[in-house]
Amino acid sequence: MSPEARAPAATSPSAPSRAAAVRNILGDLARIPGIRGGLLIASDGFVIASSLPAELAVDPLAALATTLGRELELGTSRLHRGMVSTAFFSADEGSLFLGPSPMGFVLLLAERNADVGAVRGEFRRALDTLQSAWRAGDHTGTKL
Amino acid sequence: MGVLTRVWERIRRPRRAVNSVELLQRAERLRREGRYEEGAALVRAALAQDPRSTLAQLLDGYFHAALRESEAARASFRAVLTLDPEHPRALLGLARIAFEGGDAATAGQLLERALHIYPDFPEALALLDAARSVTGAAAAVAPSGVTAARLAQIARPDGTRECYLLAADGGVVFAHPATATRDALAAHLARVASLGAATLARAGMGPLRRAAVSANPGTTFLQTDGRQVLAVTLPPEVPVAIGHGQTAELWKRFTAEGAA
Repeated sequence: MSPEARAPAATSPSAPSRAAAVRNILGDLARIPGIRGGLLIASDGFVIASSLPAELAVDPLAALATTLGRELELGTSRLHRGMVSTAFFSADEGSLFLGPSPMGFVLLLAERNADVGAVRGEFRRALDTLQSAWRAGDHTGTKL
Repeated sequence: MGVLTRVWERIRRPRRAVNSVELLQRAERLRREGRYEEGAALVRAALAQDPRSTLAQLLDGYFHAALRESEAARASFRAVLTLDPEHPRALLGLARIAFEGGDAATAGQLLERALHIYPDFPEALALLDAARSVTGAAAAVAPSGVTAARLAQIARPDGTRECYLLAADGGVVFAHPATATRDALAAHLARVASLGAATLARAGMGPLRRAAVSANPGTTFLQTDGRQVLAVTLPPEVPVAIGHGQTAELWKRFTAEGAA
C-alpha cells in the first residue's frame, strides 16, 4: 500500500465560486511572461491548486515550500520581526516567489530570464487580490 | 392508507442521520476549497460518531495544521498513530510540526520511520533531504574574534539594521548588532537559506544564490555560496534590486577580508 492509499480519498465535485476565483488568480499569474507556474498550498502542505508543468513533482515541492513558508512565519513571529509579505529565492536557473494567503501559501516559479521586478509586482498584487477575494466571500463561497 | 396519512408518516419519519463517511467526504471537499473551519467542524462531528476512525483523526490533524494550530494537529496525528503506529502520513504530519518547532533532528527521525515503511514516499524524501541539510551542515568556518573584529570595520550599507555572516549550520561568524536573540536569529536565517535552497533544487533551478524576505520592519537580503550565508536587513523603502546590489558588494568586501 502506498502512503496515498491511506490518505483521504479524493472527492472532487464541481468547485464552488470562491475556489474557482482563487484558481483563476493562480492561472493569471502563470500567464506572466517567464513564469513556469505556481501552487496554492494549504499550511499542512495540501495542494489546493497547481499550474506547474507536468514534469515537476508537485507534492514534494509543496512539502518543502510549506515548510519554508512556516519557517518564515514562525521565525519572524518568534523573533518579533513583523509579518512576512513576500519572499524571493534566486538560483542559476530561475527563481521562486513565496507569499502568504488566507488559504496557506502561494508559490510561483520563474525562469532565469524572467523580469524579476515585474513578476514581484504582479505577485504582490495577486496576493492582495487573494486577500480581497477571501474577505469578499462568505462561508458558502457564493459571493464570488 | 390515505394520502394524507402517507404524507404525515413521511414528514414524521426522522431524517436519515448523516454518517461519518459522508461527513468526512464533505469535509474533504471543503478542504479542497480552503474552507478549513467548516471542514474541521464536520470532522469533529464524524469523530463524535466514530472516535476510532483513523481517517477522521488524520483529517482532524490536517485541518488543525491548515489553521496553523500546531499543538492540536500534533495531538491528532498522535491519535492516528495510536490506532495505526505505522501510518506514514501521521508520521509526516508530526515531522512537519517538529520542523516548525526548529527540531530538524526529530523531524528527520520521524521521516526515516515513514520511509522505512514506504521507501518511495515523495514528500518524506524531500523533507528528509531538507532536515539533513539543516542538521548535517557542519560549521565550515570557525569564527574567530580576529575575523569578527576585522569585519566590524567594513562599512555596511546605509540604514543597515542587522548584518550577519553565518556558517551553513547557523554558526555565527559575524553579527551586528549583538543582541540577546542573536543565536535564535542566526538559526532561523540558516534554516530559511537551507529550506530555500532545497525548494529551488527540487524545482530544478540549481543552488541558492540570493534571497530577499520582505517583512513589515524591513527586507532581509541573503547571499550565499552554500558554505556561508550573508544576511543584511535594510529599511523597507530600499528597493529590492538596490538591496541585492548592496548585499553583493558587502559580500565582496567580506570575501576580500578572507571571511566569506
